[in-house]
Amino acid sequence: VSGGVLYVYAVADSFSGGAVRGLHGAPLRAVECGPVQAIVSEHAVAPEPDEELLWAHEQVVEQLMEGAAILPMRFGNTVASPGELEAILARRQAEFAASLERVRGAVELSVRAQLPEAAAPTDVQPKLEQLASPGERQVLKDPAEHPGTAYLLERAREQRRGEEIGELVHRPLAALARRSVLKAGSGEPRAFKAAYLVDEEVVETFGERVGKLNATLGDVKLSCTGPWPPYSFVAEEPG
Amino acid sequence: MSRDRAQEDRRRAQQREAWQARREASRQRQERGVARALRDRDVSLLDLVDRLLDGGVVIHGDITLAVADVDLVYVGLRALISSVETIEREMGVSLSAAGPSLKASAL
Repeated sequence: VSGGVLYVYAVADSFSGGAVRGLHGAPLRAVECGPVQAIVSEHAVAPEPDEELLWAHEQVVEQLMEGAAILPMRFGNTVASPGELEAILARRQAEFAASLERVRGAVELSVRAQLPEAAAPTDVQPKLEQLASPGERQVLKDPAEHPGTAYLLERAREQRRGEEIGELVHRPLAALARRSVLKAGSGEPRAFKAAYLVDEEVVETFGERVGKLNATLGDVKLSCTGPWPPYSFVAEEPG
Repeated sequence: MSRDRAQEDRRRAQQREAWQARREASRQRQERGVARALRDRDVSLLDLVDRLLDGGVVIHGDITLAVADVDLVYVGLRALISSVETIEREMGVSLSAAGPSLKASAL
């Protein structure tokens, strides 16, 4: 590649070619190294991300996934030459081969929920209210007398509720998955965000279980999207 | 001032239309996939960004994205989503790190 770059979409165990085109319609090809190969397209300059190209990357990866076990790349991976890529594949061959086996035959499903703002004690699940101690109930009964304590209790209750819902949602879903990862960021204490690596034939069951959970969770709405390529499960430690 | 505002509104409306077309195309692609009922169209955009900019394999080589670029992509996406507040509230998304001024300018 003289002066250009190779943009990498995925590491795969096979590549059948076919009609799939890359970003900006560029043709795809494989750079092989032993049992693993990287699927790439050639570009004069490294593609910059925008919404359209993000979807284009995703579409390429989804189509590659139809015929092969793949590890999707993050957007924006480029190398200067096939030789550079071959060296990387050679160095990480064992890691990639193992990861490919872990995701083979499975897809990623995403589940999100947002906990409501400081839910009033009575409006959700009685089960959560039961978590309050007798002393806490006294303060809750007369919050004006103990504003600081009431505030702290409110925060604590919110956190417990978050943990409780995480538990209520995550456990039954993780039970259907090969692997799972909770991803809620530290900056989003009220957000539930998780990814599940699910066998293709279990996807429908998973969706049904999300539906059932939604029916039992009251004002918390779960949102499930997928199937995605296994972006969250490309490494041994999910993340 | 108000003319700039009107132009900006038109530009946003055009972006939104283009985006909705892409989203619909994506949905139709998905419907050929394994679980047609699962993909929620609004949330899938946010999940897409999460995955493509934060997940996936990173090889040695030049990643085109600096952290600032990621923020810009989020900002661009926020401008295209018609009801960011609703999505944040209902779908477990918080993009407020992008800044209160952006939130105020969301459609």
